[in-house]
Amino acid sequence: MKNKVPYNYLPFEFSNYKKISIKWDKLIKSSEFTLGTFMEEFENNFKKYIKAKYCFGTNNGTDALILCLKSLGIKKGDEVITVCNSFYATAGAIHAVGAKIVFVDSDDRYQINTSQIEKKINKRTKAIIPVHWGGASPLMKNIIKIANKYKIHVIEDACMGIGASIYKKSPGTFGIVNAFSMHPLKSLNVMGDGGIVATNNTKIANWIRKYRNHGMINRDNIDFWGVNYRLQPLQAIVANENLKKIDSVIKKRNKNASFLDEHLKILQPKVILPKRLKGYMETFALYMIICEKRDKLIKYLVQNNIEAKIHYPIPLHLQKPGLKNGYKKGDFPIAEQQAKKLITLPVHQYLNKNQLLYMVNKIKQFYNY
Amino acid sequence: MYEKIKLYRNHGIKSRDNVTIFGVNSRLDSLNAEILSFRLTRLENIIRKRRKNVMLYKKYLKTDKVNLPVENKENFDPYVMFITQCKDRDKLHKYLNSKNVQSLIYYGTPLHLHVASKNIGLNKFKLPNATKIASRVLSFPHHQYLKESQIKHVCKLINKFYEE
Repeated sequence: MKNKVPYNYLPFEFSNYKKISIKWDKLIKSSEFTLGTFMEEFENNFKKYIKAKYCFGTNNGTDALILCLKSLGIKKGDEVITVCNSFYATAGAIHAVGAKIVFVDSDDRYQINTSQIEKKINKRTKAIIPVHWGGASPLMKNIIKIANKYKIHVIEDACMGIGASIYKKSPGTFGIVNAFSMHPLKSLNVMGDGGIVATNNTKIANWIRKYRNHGMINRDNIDFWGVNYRLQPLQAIVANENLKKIDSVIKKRNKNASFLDEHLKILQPKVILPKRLKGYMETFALYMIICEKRDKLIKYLVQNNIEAKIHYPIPLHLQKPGLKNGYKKGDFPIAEQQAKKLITLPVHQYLNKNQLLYMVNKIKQFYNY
Repeated sequence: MYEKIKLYRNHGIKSRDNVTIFGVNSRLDSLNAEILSFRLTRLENIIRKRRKNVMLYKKYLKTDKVNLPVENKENFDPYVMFITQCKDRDKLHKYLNSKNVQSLIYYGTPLHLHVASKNIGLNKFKLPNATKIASRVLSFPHHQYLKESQIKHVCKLINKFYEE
């Protein structure tokens, strides 16, 4: 039997795309293949959803981050602080604009450790990029406080955070300009790559609007040299349809996560669950727990057709380019320990109670509970 | 180069858990790749029709006021754009518009004369050829869905414009 508890739910996700395809027919008839009304419709709906003033569809989450950095004029010689346990794109975006990546450790919720930020700030520091890692949110209040104190910017990497909230306030509305991803395995997803930039700052919005479209004012006039970082209307339509069901997706994932929490907490201290903070709604893009004998456990689960994963076994600072930047083992002990002990369990919206129970029982079996 | 681009366009990912460089996401998605695979089977036919249309322009245009693009022996032009140079370009452009014939200017301002260039000091360069060409270029409809009668009609209008 293959994958009794699959991690990848995409075969279910797009099994019925009739509504999308009706909209595609309209798009094809209209020939609005770049920007246009289908894009605007999505951008308007999304900004209402997260309650931001301006939103722009981009190629993908990485380009959304690059746009954020560029819109603040961050460049070579500048420094940007971020957390060492994230996806490669967070570091990649900083590197792409030529700035120096300054890592800090994670905390016990696997989020940026806000007590470690201040000592990394110097006169070259231009921004902090907190990551809503796994769809949980870092301690944004602390981060904003630090940023205000030192007059530096906050750019949220909310790539996994669509649908999350901190006391009803959406990720991507705390920083000055912020990035989201709509990669297929995100809470809001498209059939390929897609991203969004959100900001409440009119000046930044006006710059991004032009820069992501070659710097164009109109067909024959450009204001400055730009690039093409546009989301495709083809994907904007997919995003728009999926936005309608995002709340039910988040609800189901939260329900599944609560179920797992409830059943796994008795295994403490062999299994340690992260704190679920009051007022913090998570997307559970990644349901991560700290496990004793992690490598053996994951092997056991995979053998039992449970598609568990590790996000990620090597933190960013210990990847080849991180080491090249001068980082070494021991620099960030919390994240390094988590890289050795974290496991990601399937928690997606297509799992049923039997599958969850099967998974819980296998984990209990592994620990001879 | 091949290896570097392959890595860089996908976050520098060598395997799921290892990156060798910090890269970006510049990959084509499969949805578009599939569309392109299909379109690629149509490409030769499209180019053939476009080239034929350009030949028809050569045949029906009876004026020396329009310079058509010249194709060298070693070049094969797919005619993504069909850029001609026209005397009294702006007047002709207006005239064709008034007769419901769409023609386009690619482009009226050369790159070095845009505000974007001025802001970084690039407008100091004197590039007289490009500047002159920008005032003369005009593209007539030449796509693969045109009929010969339509091209004939456009040519007739252009011929008439220069006769008057």
